[in-house]
Amino acid sequence: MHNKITISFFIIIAFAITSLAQSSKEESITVPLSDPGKSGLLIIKNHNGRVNVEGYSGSEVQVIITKNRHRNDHSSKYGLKRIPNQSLDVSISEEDNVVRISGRHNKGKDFLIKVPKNFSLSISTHHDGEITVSDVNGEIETKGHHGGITLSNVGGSVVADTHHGAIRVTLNSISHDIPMAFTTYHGDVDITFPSTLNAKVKMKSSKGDIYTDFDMTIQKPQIKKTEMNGKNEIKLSGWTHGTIGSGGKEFMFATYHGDIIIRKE
Amino acid sequence: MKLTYYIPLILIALITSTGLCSTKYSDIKKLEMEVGDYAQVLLFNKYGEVNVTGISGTKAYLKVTRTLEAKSKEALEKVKDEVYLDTMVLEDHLYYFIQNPYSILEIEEIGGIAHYNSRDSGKWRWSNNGERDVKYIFSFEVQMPMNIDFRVSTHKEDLRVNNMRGRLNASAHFGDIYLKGVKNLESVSGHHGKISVQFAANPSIDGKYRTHHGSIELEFPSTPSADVSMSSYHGKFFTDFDWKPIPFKTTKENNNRGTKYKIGSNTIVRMGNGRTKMSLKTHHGDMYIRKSS
Repeated sequence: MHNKITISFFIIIAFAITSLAQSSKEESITVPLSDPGKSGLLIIKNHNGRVNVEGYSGSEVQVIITKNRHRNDHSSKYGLKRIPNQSLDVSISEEDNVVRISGRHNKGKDFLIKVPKNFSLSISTHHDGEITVSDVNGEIETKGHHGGITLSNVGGSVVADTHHGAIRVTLNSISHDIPMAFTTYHGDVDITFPSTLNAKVKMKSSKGDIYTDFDMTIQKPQIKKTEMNGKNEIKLSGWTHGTIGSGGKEFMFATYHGDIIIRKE
Repeated sequence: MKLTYYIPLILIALITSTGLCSTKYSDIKKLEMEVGDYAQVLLFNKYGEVNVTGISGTKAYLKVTRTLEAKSKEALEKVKDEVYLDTMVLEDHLYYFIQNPYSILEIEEIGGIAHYNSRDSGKWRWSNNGERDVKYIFSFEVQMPMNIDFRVSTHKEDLRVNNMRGRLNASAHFGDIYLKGVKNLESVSGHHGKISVQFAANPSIDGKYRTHHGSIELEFPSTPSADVSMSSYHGKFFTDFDWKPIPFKTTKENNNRGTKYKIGSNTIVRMGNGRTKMSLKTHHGDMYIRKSS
C-alpha cells in the first residue's frame, strides 16, 4: 500500500514537471560581434518581463528568451479551448559591436543574456521587470519600474533607477571619472563599493535611514533663504551631502520608502 | 427681446439638424451579364453594403440601389449624371465599379486590390467642389456564378458573400465581413469590423485573414489541414480542433550595417497534416477556429 502511494506520488510529480516544461517556450540565439576582440554595448528594452545578464569568457552574445507566464492559457470560451499565445516577437540586431534587443510590449518574456565580460549595458524593463546582472565590467545603466535591480560582481560605473523594488549593487572596481546614481521609491538602496572608494555622495531617504561603514565626512545641510513681502523663508535641503576618501565625482543615492546602505567591500 | 434675438439661431439649428437643406434621390439599376468567359470578376463599391450569392450558370445579376443626397437640386441633378455604376474590362478581367469624377478607382495591379483615390469619409462637408457637396450610397444585391474567380470590396458598410466556391478575395474597411458556404478563400481584409467565415469545404489554397479592430471567426466542416499562423496584440486564440505547436520561426538578415534577427512574431500551430497555410492577424480582437455546427 505504501509503495503504491509512493509510485503515484512520483507519477504525479513527473506529470507536473512535464506540463511545466511544455508551458515554457524557449528560444536561443547566438549573436556574433563585428569585432570580437573589442568591448561592446548591449541595449535591451523589455516592457513585460525580466532581464538577467551574465558576463562570461566567450566572445559572442548569447540570448535565451523564455515565455512561460500564461496565467489564463487553459481558459475556454464558447466551449473552445484556448491556444496559448506563444509568439515572442523579438528582434535583435548587431552593428559595430552594439547589440540591440527589443520585443513587442504585450508579450511577456524573460531574457537570459550572456555577454563578454567587458561589455557596457543599457537595460530597461517595466512590468514584472526584475533586472539582474553579474560579472560584467563596463558602463551599466539599468532602468526598471515594477521590479528590483540586483547587480553583483560588476565593475565600471552604474546608473540604476527603479520605482517598486530595491537596488542592490556590489561593485568590485569603479571608474572614478564617471558619476553614478542609485534611485528608487519603494525599496532599499544597498550598495557595496571597493574599500578604496573616493567620492562625493548625495543621499536622501524620506522615510528611511542612511547607514554606512565608510568614514564619511558629512557637510552641513544647505540652507536656502528667500524673502517675499518682507518675510523670510528658510529651507533646509532634504539631501545629505558627504565625502568619502578624497572625494571625486558625485554619487547619488535616493529612496522614499527604504533605507540607504553604503557598504565597504 | 432676448427671445427675438435667439429665434433666427434656433431656426438655423433646426434646419441644419433636420437636413432640410438637402434633397434626396434614389433609383434601382438591374444588370445582367454573361461573365463565364472572364478570368476574374471584380466588384469595388465605396459607400454601401454588398450582398453576394453564388449561383449556378455563367451569368451575373446585379441589383444596385443608388441613393444620392445633395445640398441643392442643381447639385443633385449633377451628381445623377456624374456618379453611377459602371463596368470595364481590363485584359480578361471584368470590373464593376462606381464612376465618379472626384473619386477615381486606382488599380495597382490588374486582378488585385484597387482603391478609390478620394479619402472622403462620406460625411457632409459644405465646400463648393465635387463630391464633397453630395453623399452617395450604392447597395448591391449580386448573384454571381459560384465557381468564378471573384474579388469584392466595399469601403463603408458590411460585406456578405454566400455560396461562392471559386477563388475569393473579400475586403471591407469600415464594416463587418460575413462569408458563408465559401471554399477557396484567398484573402479577407477588414479594419474596423469583424471577420466571420463558414467554409462549405476545407480550403485547398493558402488563406490570409486580416483585420484590426475586430475578431476573426472561422468555421470548418472538419479539421482543416493547415499550418495556422496567428497574431493578435490584445486578443486570444480559441479552437475545438486538435493542434500541435510548431517551432518558432527565426529569420536572419545580413546587410552592410550588420545582422538582424527576427524571432517568433506569430503563434503557429499545425492542424491536421498542415497541407495549406492560414495566416490570421488582428490587433484588438480574439480568434476562433471551430467545427461547423
